[in-house]
Amino acid sequence: MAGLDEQQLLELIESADSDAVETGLRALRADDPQQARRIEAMRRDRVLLQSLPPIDPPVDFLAELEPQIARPMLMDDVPTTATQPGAARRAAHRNRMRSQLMQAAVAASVALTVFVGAWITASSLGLFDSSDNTLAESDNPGSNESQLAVNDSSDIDNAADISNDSLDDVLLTGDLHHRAPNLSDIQRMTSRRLVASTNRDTAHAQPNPSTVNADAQPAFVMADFALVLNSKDETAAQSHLSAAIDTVTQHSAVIKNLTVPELKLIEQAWLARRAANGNPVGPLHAGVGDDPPANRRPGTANANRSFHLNVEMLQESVEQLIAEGLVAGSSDLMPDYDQQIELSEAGLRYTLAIPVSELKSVLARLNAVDAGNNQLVLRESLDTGPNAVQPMAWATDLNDILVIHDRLLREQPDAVLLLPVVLSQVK
Amino acid sequence: MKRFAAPDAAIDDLWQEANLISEMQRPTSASPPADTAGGAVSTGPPRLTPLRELQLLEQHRAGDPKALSELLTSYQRRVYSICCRMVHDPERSRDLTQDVLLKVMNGLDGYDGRAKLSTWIIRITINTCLSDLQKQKVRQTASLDDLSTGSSSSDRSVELPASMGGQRELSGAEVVELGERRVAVERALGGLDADARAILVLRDVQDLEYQQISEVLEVPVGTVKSRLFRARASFRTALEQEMARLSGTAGDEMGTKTA
Repeated sequence: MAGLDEQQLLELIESADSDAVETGLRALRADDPQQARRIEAMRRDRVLLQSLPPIDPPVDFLAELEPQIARPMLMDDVPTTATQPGAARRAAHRNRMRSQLMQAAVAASVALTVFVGAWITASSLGLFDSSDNTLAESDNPGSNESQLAVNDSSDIDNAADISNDSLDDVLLTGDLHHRAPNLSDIQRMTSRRLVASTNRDTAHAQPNPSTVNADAQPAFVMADFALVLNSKDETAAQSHLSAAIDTVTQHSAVIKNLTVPELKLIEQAWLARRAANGNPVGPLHAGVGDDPPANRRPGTANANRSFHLNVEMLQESVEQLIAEGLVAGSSDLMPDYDQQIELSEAGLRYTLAIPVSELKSVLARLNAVDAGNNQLVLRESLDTGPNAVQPMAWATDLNDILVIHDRLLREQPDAVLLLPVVLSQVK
Repeated sequence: MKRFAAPDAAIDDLWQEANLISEMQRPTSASPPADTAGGAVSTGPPRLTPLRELQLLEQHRAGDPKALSELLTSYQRRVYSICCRMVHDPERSRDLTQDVLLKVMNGLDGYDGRAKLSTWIIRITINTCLSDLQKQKVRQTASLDDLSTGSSSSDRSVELPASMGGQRELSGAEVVELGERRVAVERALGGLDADARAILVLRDVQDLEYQQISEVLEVPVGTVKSRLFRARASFRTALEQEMARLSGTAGDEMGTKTA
């Protein structure tokens, strides 16, 4: 094994394939024992370095920067629409100009301190034009979209509008809210196989029940009831759900149903990286109104928008989508993106996928974690008010739910139950 | 206090302890998000997902004052940690971290998404540290009173604070308190030239992939691998020297010399 180059030696040091490493080191020992010892030592060195802990900054470290963080917000007027190419560079230039002008303004104010009284008097008399601060231009420094995304400006606007109706509360304020599920949409979904997608028929498709041996795949059933999970925040909710399916060995997952704005952001980032790597592609989704009339549904604009994601082209993005949407469990159980959008827009932020037979034990584990704060509610009982879910409704609904569940157990014992989850903030 | 018979044996001990530490620190693949009940203990704000970062960026550009603060808070620990590992001086690290965060803040409008946000921020951090180290090097070589402690590297940082195994001679009790192992590793890392230190910090301490390091350092992946191998070789040599030095110090404290 004479003459291993640096990259081959590095491979021996860093590879996680212990069998390959052992084979390589054995050959190296035979050829150059001293080099082999050194490589083994360098493997150990790597572990040492990896064990170095992060170093925490001083407490309130950012407090010193807070005034500077706040300052741009007072100056800038950043609209949300997409911009032309180069706008960000112009924006950065304007920001620099603003900064320099502000510094000059501060210096001028100091020089005029002696005449403060006259200054205030003159201001009150309206002698100074209040539109002096024309530095804050109305055109856009903001989003630095690539040219490919310019065509999507209307999509971005609509996405922002829709997000205001649905998940903006969660994203911006951290508050969790009730949203009445659109029952007609949900009922429509029960007749579809949720994880099938006609677009995923290429070799690069993510592992998906529709592309794997169909005989091995269970049937999927959308529950007629929802889990209302009371939790102090979304992170705790994810943790509780993940813990609840921890012991379910097969066909289990906790999925966060991505929204249109989230998918849009992931796509934008992916497009930018593709362009940077010399492989630009156009936007992959159809714009608003592109759906043929027969496919349009009343309601939100998002329902009319179809994301025909070509998995082959979006291989990287698919991995990130999985990473973003899969909280725990098997990615095979993730609804496709159209369905995730429908669920999330109906306020069903998560989907819990479990075998029908495991429902009661999963609920028991959830209650054990969260001291019985969770509720199962028939979806038509859900309300939009702040005190939407009434305890008495739960007591009544539980009998109905058990009837539904018992029927499922009888008729489809091997099915995977897709249980929508509504997050409710603990008061 | 334990005396090390030979550097290799000491490093074996180091490795066994580190292995245990690594096992304790590394999350499992099925673990829920950090800092939740039953999850791994996290002493800092959890890292944001790439999607959350994009959301915050959009919110910041839309004028949300909290978004920038949340973004910077999520990165301050990481940036500070890199700066400390690079310059080995808490005061300078603090200043450099603030410089980095200000650069990030002022540069966000120009961030075009071609690299991941984390890659972009780490690039700014590393470049800021390397510039600072270069300035320190210029000052050291220009100074008529350069009292090098005998390091072979002209990039050797100014005196390490005690909390990171300073270059000043530590008493035996201090070494025991800090952990002689940690002292040796920190000193060996601090004694490398800046480029070698940077690539080891990025790869092993920050756990970046080759491609990410390539984007941070703006060199091809092949160059990353070559530099990484050479950095490892330098670190190995430096660690052996530090362990020998420590065992020599320990021997002196005990009134005997180690072999």
